[in-house]
This record gives sequence, C-alpha cells and structure tokens, in this order.
Amino acid sequence: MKRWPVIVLAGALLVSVLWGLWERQNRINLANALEAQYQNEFYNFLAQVEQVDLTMGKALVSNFPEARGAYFAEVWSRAIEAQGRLSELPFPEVNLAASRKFLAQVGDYCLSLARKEARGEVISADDRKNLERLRRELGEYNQSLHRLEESMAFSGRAWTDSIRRAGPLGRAEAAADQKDEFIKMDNRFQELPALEYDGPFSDHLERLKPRGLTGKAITRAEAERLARSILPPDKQHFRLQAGRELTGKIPCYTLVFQNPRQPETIQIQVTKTGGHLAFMINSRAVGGESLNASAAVDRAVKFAAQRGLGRLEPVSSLKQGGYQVVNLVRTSGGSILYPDMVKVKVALDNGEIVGWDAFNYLMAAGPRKIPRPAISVAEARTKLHPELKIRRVRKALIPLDSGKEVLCYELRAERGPETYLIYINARTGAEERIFKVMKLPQGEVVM
Amino acid sequence: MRKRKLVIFLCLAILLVGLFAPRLYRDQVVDGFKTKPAVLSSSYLGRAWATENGLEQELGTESLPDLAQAGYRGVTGSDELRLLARLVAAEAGGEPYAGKVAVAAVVLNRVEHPSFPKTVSSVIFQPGAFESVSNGLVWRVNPRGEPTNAAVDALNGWDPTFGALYFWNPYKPVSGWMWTRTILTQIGRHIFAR
Repeated sequence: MKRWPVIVLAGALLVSVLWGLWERQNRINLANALEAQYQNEFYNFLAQVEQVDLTMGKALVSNFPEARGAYFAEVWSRAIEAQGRLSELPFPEVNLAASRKFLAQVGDYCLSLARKEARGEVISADDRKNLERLRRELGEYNQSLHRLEESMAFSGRAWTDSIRRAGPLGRAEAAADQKDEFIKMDNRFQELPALEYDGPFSDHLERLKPRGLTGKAITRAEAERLARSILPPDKQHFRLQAGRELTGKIPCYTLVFQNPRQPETIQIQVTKTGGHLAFMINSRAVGGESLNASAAVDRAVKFAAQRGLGRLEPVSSLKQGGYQVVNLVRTSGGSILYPDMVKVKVALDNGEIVGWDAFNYLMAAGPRKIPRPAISVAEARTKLHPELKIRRVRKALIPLDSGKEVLCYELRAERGPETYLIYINARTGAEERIFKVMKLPQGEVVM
Repeated sequence: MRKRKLVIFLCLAILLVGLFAPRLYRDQVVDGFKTKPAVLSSSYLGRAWATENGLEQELGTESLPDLAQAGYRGVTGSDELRLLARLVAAEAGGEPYAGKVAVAAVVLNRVEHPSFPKTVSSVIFQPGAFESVSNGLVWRVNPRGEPTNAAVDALNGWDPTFGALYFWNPYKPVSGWMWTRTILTQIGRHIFAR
C-alpha cells in the first residue's frame, strides 16, 4: 500500500537523471560544434591579418603599377575578410569597433589605391607614408595576435567559455587573456589619426556638413505649426505627443501625432534651422487601392512643390504593398541631380502622403556649380561596349562613394534582355558606375 | 485507492512542471517590456517556418526594395527583408512605428559602417550584437504587419535617427561603453546613438 509512492518517486528521479544526462550530452555536442566554428574563425582571422601585412609589403616594394594594383586589390579582399572574421568572434561586453574599423579602412584605402593605379595615377609620397604607418600598426596587431594564439593554445581556453552563464559560485574567469589582448589593441586603434582618401570608409565622410540647411533657427512652437500644416484636414484633431529632439548632422524637432481612436501615429521631423520638413512616417495600414502609379507620382511631385522644393523630377517609383514609393530629384540645366533626392511614400487607397525622407536632399542640396561637359554625347556613346544598344542618354550628377559628385552622361542601354544604366564621366570620359535595371511588375529597381 | 491515484498524479505533475518550467520562464523574461510575449510555443522552429511561408505568400515579389535610389545601400532581395523584419519584431515589437523603422535602419547603417560586418545577415548574427538573437526570441516572433512594413521603409532609405549605429533600452542595464556613444534621440523606449 505504501510502496507505490516510493516506486513512482524513484521512477521520476531516474527519468530526471536520464533526461539530465541526455541534455548534458546535447549541450556538449553543441558547445563542441560552436567552439570548432569559433576556432576556425579565429585561425582564419590570424591568417588573413598576416596576409594583409605580407601583401602590403609586396605592394610597397613592387615597381610596376599593374602588379601594385593587383596587390592593393588583394589587400582589400583580405582585410575585409579579416574584418568579417573578427566580427564573428564572441566578445561579451567588449566592443572592438576600432579594430574592425581599422581593418575595414586598411582594405578600403588600398582599394582606392588600386583604383588609382588602374587610372594610371601616381601613388603619392603621402600615400606611401600612410601605407607605412598602417603597416606598422598591422605589424603590432599581428604580433599581439600571435602571442594570444600561443597562450590560448597552451591554456586550453575556449571561446565558448565566454558565453556560459554564471553559476551559483559566480562567473568563471573565462577567456580573460584573449579579451585583454584584443582590448589593448583596440585602445591603440582608437588613438590612430584620421585617414582621408577617396573611399566610403574615409574619415572625412563622418564630418560632412549639411549643405541644404538654409534659413533661420525656428522655435518648437513654429515647428509644431509647420507639422500641423502638413497633416491633412481630417487629421487635425490628432493628439500631439512629446517627441525627443534629434541631434546629429541635421538637428530636428520631433513631433508625434496620435490618432485618438485608431492605432495610427505620424512622426514628423522638422529641422531646427529653417524649418524644413526632414522626415515623416505614418504607420497607417492601407485599405483597397484606388490610385494608379502615375497619379501617386503626381501627388508626390505636388507635395514636394508645396514644401517649397520647386518642381522636382520623378526618377523612379516602385509599388510596395499598398504604397507607392517615389524618388524625386532636382534638375539643373537639363542635368538630373541625383544627390538632391527626396523620397515620398504615397498611400494608394486615398493618395495621402504617408512618408517623406529628405535627409540626402538636406545634406547635398546646396548652391553648386555644375561643370560643363568636356565631351559630347556622341563621344560618350562611343565609350560603351559595342554589344550594347543605347536607348536613352541624359546628363546626370551622381554621388560617388567618396562623397564627391561627378557630372556624367547616363546611358540607358540594353544587352539582350538585360537593361543597364552606365555612367560616363562627362569631363574625362571614364566609366564611373554601372547599375543593372530590374524590371518588376511593381516598377523598376536598380542594383 | 483514491489516495494512491492522487499521489501518482501529483508526482507526474511535479515532473512535468520541472520539464517545462525553464522553457516557459525563458519565453517570458526575454524582454521585460514586451506586454505580449511573442509566442508561448515550445516548438519554435516549426512556428518560425510557418510564419516564414505565410510571409512569403503575403509579400510575394512585391517586397523587393528599391536599392540604388535608396541611398546606395547595397542591400538586396526579399530574403534579407524577412530577416530584418524578424529582428524588428523581436527587438522593437512593442515600440512605436518610427522606433521599428529606426531599429531596422540601425542594421542597415551598420552594413555601411567600417566598424561592422558588411552584410545584413552578419550584422544581425554578430555575436552579442542583439539580445533577441542571443536568447532566441528572434525565431519565435511573428514579423508580419508593422515589423515588415518598417523593414521595407528602412530598406527604402527611411531612418528617423539619420544615422544611428546603436540602440538600447535605458531602463535596462547595458555596458558602460554604450553610454560613451553620441546620443542622437530617443524613440519609445529606445535610445539611439552613433
């Protein structure tokens, strides 16, 4: 009579123990698989950093531009690879942002030098000095990584130690060595002088100032009035909520309007200087569609004109769900100014403007001199590959990764079923950029 | 006889609670602020695939974001959109819409920044980068609706923070390093910084 509970409890205990052992085995298997992954990343990382150092050395001694160009390109691919590997390693509570930035910059910088070589330009004395300096840092990094590898190999420390949860007796002092070495190097990288060159990771891009912020400083009350005036008449009763101001490159007042009855919020950001509408997004879900694409584009153009941006040219538009996203740009003397772009989101059920983004526009749209083309349209046409059939040519100012702007001929050309946009520099005749145009039922996407 | 049955029942009940308690617990403590815990389902992988396919049908090819015009983001395809939407749902499920767009924009801003990996997926899965990836919430959320719309908006270039690289919840403990960043703004319960 009394034995039953004992048997049941003993059974339960046995099941629990078996289950625990089974879970433990699972855990070990998972930890081993993960550790192998991390170790692989770590050793690949070491190898890539070493190769970056070696290849940079070769580029510095080579006296042949073509060979140097190839070495620089190799440095780029290996440095970016190393940066990626480093990002895959776990460092809880440590952010190695400076180390990753260093590697990405070394690669990006060398790619810009490879491009220079390809254009037949001379690598300047400053560039050589930069290279020497970066290589010295890399050498230090290399040595510290090798010390680390050695100590890890001997101590048997695992990368996965850092992910383990603290036990009742506190956290095991896991992986302290490897963290220290990496932190030491990261602190060193934080102190490096800025590196400026023609590339997307150059330090000068961080300091770009907005060129389109015209006008006087406005007050919050003025910003509120401005934001209200953007709301359609049937939304004037929306409740205004406090929104925290935005600092940064384009300081803004943030106004948030809440529909008192339905879940619909509209966030509007108005620049503190000049009261430009910088950003708007409405969370409203759209119902059935009643507008077609061209009507939506017209709405977007009209809305931009009402904001005082003049007559903007729609360059592309795409239907996404119940919305039409329209990209509008300024034009000048027959040239499309791609840097001066605003994006407008139109709801296709009632034509309401539910999104606006003028960040790029406010950064770029200052007074500017557009250079005269040095080559003619006919000359630009001859620069294209003979297999291409040219469909349209127009002048366009385009932004480069380096933040510079160049005037180009935009040639829309077909190769069999494929369509491309090819940008030929209107002054030098060089090919600056190629985009592939994807024709979707919703509109054209450029990649 | 009745007593014995009761004892057996109690033992089994204790055993079952012991087996499943950790799982329920993990689901609930994921984020102190999520009023609706995502899905209290133990078979989260099955769930993940179900919503994934649902999303596919809902979005079709319409979800392809506009790329070059979206500020040259270099981001492609609907696969990344789904992943991004999932992260938004997990990280900012209870946040206002602009806060969701901002979280998606942080991922895309990172892709373009030298301090971070160079693809959407490696930014999202960078070890320790996002809490919801570390604790698995990202696989249990439903990304439909606002999270997907917010991800599309961000891929199109919308970013209420104009360049944030970090976000965190100031009501929860974060590493002191975070607070050394330049704070840009706060949307809902997230501080955004660069």
